[in-house]
Amino acid sequence: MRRLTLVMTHQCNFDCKYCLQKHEDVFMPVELGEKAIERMRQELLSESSRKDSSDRSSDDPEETSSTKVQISFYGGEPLLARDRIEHLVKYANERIGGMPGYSVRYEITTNGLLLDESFLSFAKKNRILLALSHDGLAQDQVRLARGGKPTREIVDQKLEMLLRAFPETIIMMTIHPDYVDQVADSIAFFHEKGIRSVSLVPAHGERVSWTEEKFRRFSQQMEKVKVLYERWNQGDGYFRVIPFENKIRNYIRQKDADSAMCHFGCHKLMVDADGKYYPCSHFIGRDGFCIGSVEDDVDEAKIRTLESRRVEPEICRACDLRFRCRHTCACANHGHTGSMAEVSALQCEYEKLTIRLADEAAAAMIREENPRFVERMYKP
Amino acid sequence: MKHEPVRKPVIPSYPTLSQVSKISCMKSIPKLAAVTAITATIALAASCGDDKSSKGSGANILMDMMAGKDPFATTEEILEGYVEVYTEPTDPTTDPTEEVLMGEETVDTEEVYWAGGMDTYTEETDYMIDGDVAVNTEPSET
Repeated sequence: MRRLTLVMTHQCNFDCKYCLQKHEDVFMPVELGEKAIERMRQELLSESSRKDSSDRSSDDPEETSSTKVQISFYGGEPLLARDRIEHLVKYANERIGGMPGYSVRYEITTNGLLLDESFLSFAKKNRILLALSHDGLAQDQVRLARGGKPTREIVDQKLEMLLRAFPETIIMMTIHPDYVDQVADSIAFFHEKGIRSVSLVPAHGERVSWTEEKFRRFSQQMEKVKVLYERWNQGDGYFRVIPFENKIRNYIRQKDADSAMCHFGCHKLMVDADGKYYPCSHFIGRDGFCIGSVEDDVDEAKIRTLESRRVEPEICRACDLRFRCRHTCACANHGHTGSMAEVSALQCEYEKLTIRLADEAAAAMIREENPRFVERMYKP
Repeated sequence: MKHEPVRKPVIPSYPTLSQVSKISCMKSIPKLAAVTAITATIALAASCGDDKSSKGSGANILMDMMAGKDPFATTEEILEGYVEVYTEPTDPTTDPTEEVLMGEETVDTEEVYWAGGMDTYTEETDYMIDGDVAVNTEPSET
């Protein structure tokens, strides 16, 4: 297990209109974070010794190159636990970064409000990827501060500060169904600011309501996003619309769209603020989805039980796009429908839309013999 | 909104990595040339009335063409394990693939993205970001 996510707090200084998280004053004790990192270290040591004993004579350069380990800090708003994060980064640098053959890097998704130059300097020094949650032109309607104050002005200032330190900052955009008409203009706003990577996902859950009409308008916006994506990747341009790029990349590599997702603790492990393990951010605190704890280790039997419930939805078995679609992603399904084995109509339509638009954009860029795009996508 | 299975979707008109590798390794042509040539052959096959120009076919046609064979005779679809038959083009002199191959130059790789793996922050990464997003869906294995 080479990816670990520590939920530093359930508390948040924002009150976004689609957010389903309970804003409780729960923070991960530093000692618990250290224990989780120590667990990870022990596993890596076992893995390393297994590898040594199975192939001591390997001259394969890949065997001797450093293994990348990722630790993410999640919330609520993780920067509310900034001191603890700084402590745990230093701790992980010593305990894992110091192991021969391993390098550790970090990731934080933040709403940006608490970013300052001092933290950015710390992030730069420690290879922390900062992803900024920002809903573009809908920010003031959707992502309000606690107490209902708008946040766009201050977050835009933070974005500029962030971009000065990290030109490759990634924007995480959530689409609220009531504000779908601003999606393309929002992407244009980010591009103008200097952003080069945007991820976007439709909001789901009981706090939002998608209708056919809203989705139709969203589709129109995504058509415009596709045009922008093609335009901004011409010549020396470079702009990633991550949902498109993932579809294109997976097709080119003939990979099942779900193959690299969480898969119940196989690819990453989520540690809640109380030390309990969950397979994914979506399942944190949900009854029946705890898969162990820092104190008791991973419950393999529980993972197998959950995995057995993650079956391909019946209706999808007749679909020829199923290998390119995230229809078996347990957390996405559960988030939309309450069942791991059922896909929502929203998810289904969104997958069809992104696959079609991604394919159209890729074909157009290849027809234009765009060397930068081809090199990016066809890197072995 | 409807949740309806898609039957016979439009097949991407760009090649897979294995097709490109096959062409560029066997014929020592630059990657960009291989990608655009296969894309062109897929489009050409489709324009000849074969709406089943699926993945694999473009690469196979191109391989035949480069081997000096008639590219629009029967082409076996290897990757998917079934057989497709392509019709003769009406005007073989308008073959866009040849133009693509002849006019191609070596691809400049962009070191900013690929050199050094994860050593600098600005390189393309395989970070997973919690909250439903994989920035690059390839899990890091090394």
